[in-house]
Amino acid sequence: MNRIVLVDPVAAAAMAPSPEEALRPVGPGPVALADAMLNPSAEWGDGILDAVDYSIRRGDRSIRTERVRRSHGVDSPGPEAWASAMAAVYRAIVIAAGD
Amino acid sequence: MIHLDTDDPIEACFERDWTDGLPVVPPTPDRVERMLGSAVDRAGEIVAVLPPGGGEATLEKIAANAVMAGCRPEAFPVVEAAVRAIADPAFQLERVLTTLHSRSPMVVVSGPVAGALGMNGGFSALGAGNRANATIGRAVNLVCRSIAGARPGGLNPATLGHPGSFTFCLTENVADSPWPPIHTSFGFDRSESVVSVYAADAPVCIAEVARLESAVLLELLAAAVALPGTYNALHRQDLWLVLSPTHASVLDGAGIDRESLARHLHEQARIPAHLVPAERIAGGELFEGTPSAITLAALAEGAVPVVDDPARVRAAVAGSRLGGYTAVIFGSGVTVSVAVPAAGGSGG
Repeated sequence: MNRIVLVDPVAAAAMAPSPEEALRPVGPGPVALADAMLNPSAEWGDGILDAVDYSIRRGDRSIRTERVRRSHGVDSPGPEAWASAMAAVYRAIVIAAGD
Repeated sequence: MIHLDTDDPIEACFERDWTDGLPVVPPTPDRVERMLGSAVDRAGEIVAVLPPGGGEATLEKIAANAVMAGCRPEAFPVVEAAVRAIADPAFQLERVLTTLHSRSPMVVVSGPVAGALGMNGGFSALGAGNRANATIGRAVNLVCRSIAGARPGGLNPATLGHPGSFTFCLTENVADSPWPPIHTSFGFDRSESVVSVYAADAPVCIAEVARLESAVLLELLAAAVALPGTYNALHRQDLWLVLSPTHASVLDGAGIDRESLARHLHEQARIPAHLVPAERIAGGELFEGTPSAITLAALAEGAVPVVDDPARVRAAVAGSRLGGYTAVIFGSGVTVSVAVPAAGGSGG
């Protein structure tokens, strides 16, 4: 065996605020969890939201979360109208978006 | 620094899950220092924080990955510029690396630095065989793995993936191209060196070696880019073509330049509407904003345009003069370009 020294090429993850820290400034009320992935049936977005839900509840069990869906169908509202409608009901919304 | 007791540093890199599946050059401190060159005093400088994992891309981390990829130190400014490009929010790296789709960063190097590094834009321009092409692209993908944290099955959930996730880097065949270098179409001066990145699917090679007529090529390319099922069919995306010098020269000989080729694809490339999910047409994801007159006309005819804006078509010229081929490279998002500092520059 030889002793070698290598430069670690792997970065430590930057510190992101915990969900409870991120939610603290936005006041009381339920938090919406929305799966807006291109293909919701793949359950990738749902899995992400499961983890978010777990993290939020672990930080503050009094926070209520609700799953919401956003249709991309013909009769669905545009992004601004949808965001405005959501803001009237929820203190925050977490969106899993991607493809 | 990591201290290891081992008889085989290459195997040690495998054991630490640092590789893309191929052996890497162990990133010893002296190799990383040589890679950093004049930037060694700024090794801890954070170039970017890369999603989805949120890792800090310091110059030292980037250099370590460039060493592992096999880069020569002269290529490091290009790798650094590519990292700056993928970190641009417009590139949407988190989307590129966390998609279920098959996509990885394509790196296009243009300008004097490509020649200085001995990059290959000729025979097999998209294939294997040139160290600079291969290792620059590989370094960017290793950065995505080691710094952005996108490991397959983890933050990278790609259902299939494609071979470009090992390396995907090209340069143009400037000598045989009838058109100016592609970075001039992005607003850069011809004398500048530029790295452009695009979230690319695997290339689809279109052959027309016999009927080398502009009208035939235009019709063929419009039909080829109108491939149902690509994400270009679903969203507003950039679309890359890599034309062989023969195809580009046929078009140029008929007075067709990059811009007129793009306009042709904008006007002619159509997908039958029934092959595009209806919710993507009507729900806003396809046509954010106001649909153009061409879009509305196409929809009225039961078709969907692939290219909503000619400016989204990026046409490079690469490969040898032998043979009439064009690679269509579907993908997602926009192309981001970053200038490479001149030799001896700060890199910042």
